[in-house]
Amino acid sequence: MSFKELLIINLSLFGAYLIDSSIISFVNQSFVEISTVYLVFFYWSYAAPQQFTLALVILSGILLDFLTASFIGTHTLIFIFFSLVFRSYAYRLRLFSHLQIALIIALLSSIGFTFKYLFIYPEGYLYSKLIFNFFSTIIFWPLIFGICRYLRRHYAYTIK
Amino acid sequence: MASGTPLKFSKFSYIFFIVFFSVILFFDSKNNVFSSLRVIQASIVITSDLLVNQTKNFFSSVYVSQTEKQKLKKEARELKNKYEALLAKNFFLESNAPNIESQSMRSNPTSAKIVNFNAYKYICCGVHEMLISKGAPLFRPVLNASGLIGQLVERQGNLGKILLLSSSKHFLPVLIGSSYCNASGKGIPMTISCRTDVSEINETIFRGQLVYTSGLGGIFPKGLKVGDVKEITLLGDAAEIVIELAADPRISPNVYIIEEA
Repeated sequence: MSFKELLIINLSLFGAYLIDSSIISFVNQSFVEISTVYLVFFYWSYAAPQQFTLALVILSGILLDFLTASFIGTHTLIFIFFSLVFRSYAYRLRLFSHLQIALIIALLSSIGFTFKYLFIYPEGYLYSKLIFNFFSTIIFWPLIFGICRYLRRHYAYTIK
Repeated sequence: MASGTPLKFSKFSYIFFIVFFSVILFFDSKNNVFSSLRVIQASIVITSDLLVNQTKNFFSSVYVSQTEKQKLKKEARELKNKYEALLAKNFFLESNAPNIESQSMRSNPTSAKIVNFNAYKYICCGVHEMLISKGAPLFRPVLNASGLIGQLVERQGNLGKILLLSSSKHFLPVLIGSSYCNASGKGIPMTISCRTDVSEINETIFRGQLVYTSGLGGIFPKGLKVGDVKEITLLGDAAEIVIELAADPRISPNVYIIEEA
C-alpha cells in the first residue's frame, strides 16, 4: 500500500469524524449520534481487508481516541474487534445482499456503540440513541459505501 | 470487489491486542493514565476554536462593515441626487427671477443621467456634446446642479443628445447689463464669446458682470444666469466679450431638462 492510499484511508476516517462531530453539534439533540467513522471503517475493512492491516487499524483507533478525547483503547478495541470479524468473514459477507450487509453493519455498529457507552461512558447511554444509531447506520451505509468506493476506484485504485 | 482477500490470518495477534488494549483501557479509565493526551487534545480544540472564531468574526465584521458602507454609499448617492435636484430648482431663484416669463418652469424639471460624455473631446475639440438617458422633446434647455449647460438637439432612440453651450456649433443670445449680444461657443470648455459694435453697448461692461439669457433665441427663457464676463477686447469699433460659463457639465452625472419653456 502506497503512502497516498494510506493517506486516503486516514483522511476518509478523519473526514467522517468531522461529519459526526458537525452533525452532533448542529442538531444538538441528546439522542442524535451518527457513527459515520464506523461506517467508513467498515467499508475499508470490507473492501480491502488485506491492505487494512492490524497496525493500521490500531493507528486509526488510537488517533480516533485522541481526537475524541476518549480513554485510550475505547475505539481501538472496537476497531480491532470489527477488523477481526471482517477478516474472518470477508468472503462470506460478499454473498449477502446490500440490505443484509447494512443490517450486519448496523448490528456491529450497535455493539460498538453499546460497548462505548455502557462500559466506558454509562452516563451518556440512552436507548433512543442506540435505536437512532442502528437505523441511521442502515440509512447511511449505501451513501458511505458509494462515496468510499468512488474514492477507492479513483484515488486508491491499487487497493483491490 | 477484492480479489486477493486472504482467508488465513493470525487471529492470535488480534486477540493479543484486544487483551492489551483492554488492560490499557482499564487503567486509563480507573487512573487517568493518559490524561495528559486528553489535555493536549482539549488545548488543540480550544486553540483551533479560538482561531476559527477569530477568523469568522474578522470576516463577518468585514462583511458587515462593507454592507454598511454600501448602504451609506447608496444613501449618500440618493441624498446627492436630491440635493442636485434642489440646486437645479434653486437655479431659477438665483437667476434674475422677475424676468423669468414662464412660471411653470419653476416646477420640477425632468431629471436624466449622462450616459456618454467624451471628456477628452470636450477639452481638445470644437464640438461639445453628450448623450443622456432620456429623449425629451427637442430644443429644451438642459441644466445641471451648477446651472445651464446646453440644449437638447437630437433624439437617438431612447437617448437624447445635448449640444453644450461651449460647443462651437452653439449660439446663444445673451444680455449683459442692458446690452444684447449674440454669443457663440468657442470650443473651449466653459467659455463662450460674443462680438458686438461698441456703439450698441448701452452701458459700461466690466469684468465679473453677470450675463443672462436674453430670451431672443426662443429656446432659453429670458433671465437665466449664463455666467460672467471674463475678458473684454476692443477690436477697432467692435468689442469681443469673453464669458465664463457658470455651469460645468463635468461635475455631476445628473442633468435636468426644462420641458415647459
